Amino acid sequence: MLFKFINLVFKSLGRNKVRTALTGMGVIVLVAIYAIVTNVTSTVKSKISGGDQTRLIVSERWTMPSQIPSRYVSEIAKLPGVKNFTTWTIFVGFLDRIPQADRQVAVLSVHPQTLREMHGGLMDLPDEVYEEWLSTKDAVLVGPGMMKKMNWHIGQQFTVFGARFPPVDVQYRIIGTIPGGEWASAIFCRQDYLADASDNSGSVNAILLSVESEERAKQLASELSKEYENRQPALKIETESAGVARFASRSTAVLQIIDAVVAILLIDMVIILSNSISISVRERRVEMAVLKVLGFQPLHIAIMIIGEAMFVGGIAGMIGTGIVCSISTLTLSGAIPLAKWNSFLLQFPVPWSAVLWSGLLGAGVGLTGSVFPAMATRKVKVSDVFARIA
Amino acid sequence: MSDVIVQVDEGFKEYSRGAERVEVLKGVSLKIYRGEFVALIGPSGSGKTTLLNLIAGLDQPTRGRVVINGRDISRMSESELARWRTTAIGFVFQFYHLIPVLTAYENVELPLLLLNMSASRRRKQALNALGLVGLSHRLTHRPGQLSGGEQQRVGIARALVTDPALVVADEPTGDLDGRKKEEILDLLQQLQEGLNKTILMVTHDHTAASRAHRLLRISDGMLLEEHAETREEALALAFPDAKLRP
Repeated sequence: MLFKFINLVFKSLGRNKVRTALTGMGVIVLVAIYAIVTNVTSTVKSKISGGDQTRLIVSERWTMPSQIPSRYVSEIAKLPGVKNFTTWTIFVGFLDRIPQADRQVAVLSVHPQTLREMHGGLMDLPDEVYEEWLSTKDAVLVGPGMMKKMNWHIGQQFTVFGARFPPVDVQYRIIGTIPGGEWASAIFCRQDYLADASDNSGSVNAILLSVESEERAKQLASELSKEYENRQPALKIETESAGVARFASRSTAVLQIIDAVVAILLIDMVIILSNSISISVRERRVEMAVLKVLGFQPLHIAIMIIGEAMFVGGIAGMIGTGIVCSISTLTLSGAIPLAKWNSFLLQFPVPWSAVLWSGLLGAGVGLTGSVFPAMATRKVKVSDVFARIA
Repeated sequence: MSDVIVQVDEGFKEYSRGAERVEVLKGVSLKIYRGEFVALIGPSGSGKTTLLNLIAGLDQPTRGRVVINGRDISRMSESELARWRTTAIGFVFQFYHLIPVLTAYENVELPLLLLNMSASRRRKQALNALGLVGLSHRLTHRPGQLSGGEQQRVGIARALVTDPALVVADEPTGDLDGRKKEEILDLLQQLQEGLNKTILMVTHDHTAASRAHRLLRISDGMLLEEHAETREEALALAFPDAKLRP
């Protein structure tokens, strides 16, 4: 029965094309914003909730920035239960000798052999690039966002003029790019090269450990904390999830505000659709009365009204997110030049699966926004409508 | 013609206008027989359309009984009435009231969507109804692309498509003039004669009323007793100045 009304629903949408288009565009814009914002918040939330319990972060307990003696690295990496490890040392500097804020970079130096295993998302790094990384000491791998921002290309050499004292200049060679996502703006270099170039092989900023099990990770964190408590320098060991939770406690308030904004966006979408449908219902009172005369039940008419709103909402939702996904994909592939307005899409690429749920979201918004106007059609009394015409 | 298809017994209808109660129908009783073409005439505000609404199941009497084709519709619920109207009554409006975004064919097919009917059967019936009104060549035209007379033909086809026994028409020629009016009246007459439909038509118009077998005159919510021997006498009583009209 309902399927038979689909033609009527589609045709009714063409009744006032300008209004349908404007309503659709209103929803498209809001869904696009909604898709971007929820994508950012859900990514952050998944990071917070999905912190790995088998990974430990070791840093200096009392000093910032953390400086861990290199001798600790070999001691800790050999401990039973440690499957893999890397070190992190951040080298901050400028691309020109005269410092300029927009030319500042932070190069993350890591243990070269475990780059892929210890950094989520880098398993997709092609083998040939990885091989070159292992064999080239001054190699750097750069995130696509940073490549675009600095207008770099593969094979290019650049120098980072160190920002700390004593000044150190380090020259690098770009051998490849890394996948987007959380490393979109990162620059990875080899720890051994930085140690040589800066003549500092004595310390690293942090050690990351991958442990065989959650239980062993907890045990190891406890053992290491005790063992290094009274050494100089003392160490702080925590699981990645604990570290993330610490970050999360600071960002929870921000996320709550963003959630409130998202809720307001949804309400706004409902109001836009509801307003448009209400006007449409008011304009079509006579037509609805005619349908009732022909034998249509109030429920049939309500279903048609709701169907129109769900269709507009659903299609507009899919278009809105489809546009965002397209921009996200084209930005990642480099087809769209990176600008400030789309650089965040490198960190938070919107998946194509979002188009489907945005369609469902739009249809849901259409349903919510049209229920009251559709119920109002029950009040259309045929005799009253015809009396007014007469 | 002895079979009663419409029977109204002591039909009353009151409306509230603010605190005031307005009695529009004051105990109307009538019978209409199967196959009759009846014109319901009377001055504006006399209760013609209200009576038509009661007979078509669009409204309920405050008191009294309305029996159509043997069924008492005066106590039916709104949804029961809606279901009943689909197959029992064909409605022709003064201003056609076609759905502007649908084609002539789709407008005629509309009531059939409510019935448990296959698409092919719906198509057959809708084409048949449009054929009866001579619009087989205008299937894909929208109302805006049709003349007033053609739109009313589509309206009549829509009224006939479910094959109802009773067709009620509220001023079906009220928005037409001259030849178009005659064409619509000819069509209604042909349908009544050819398909043995019962037609109840509200009209102000002498020409339209003259096509009917019988006139029902209503004034101030009451049916007037007719003393005329012939239809011509009844017409002369109902439209005393008709000859003066161009």
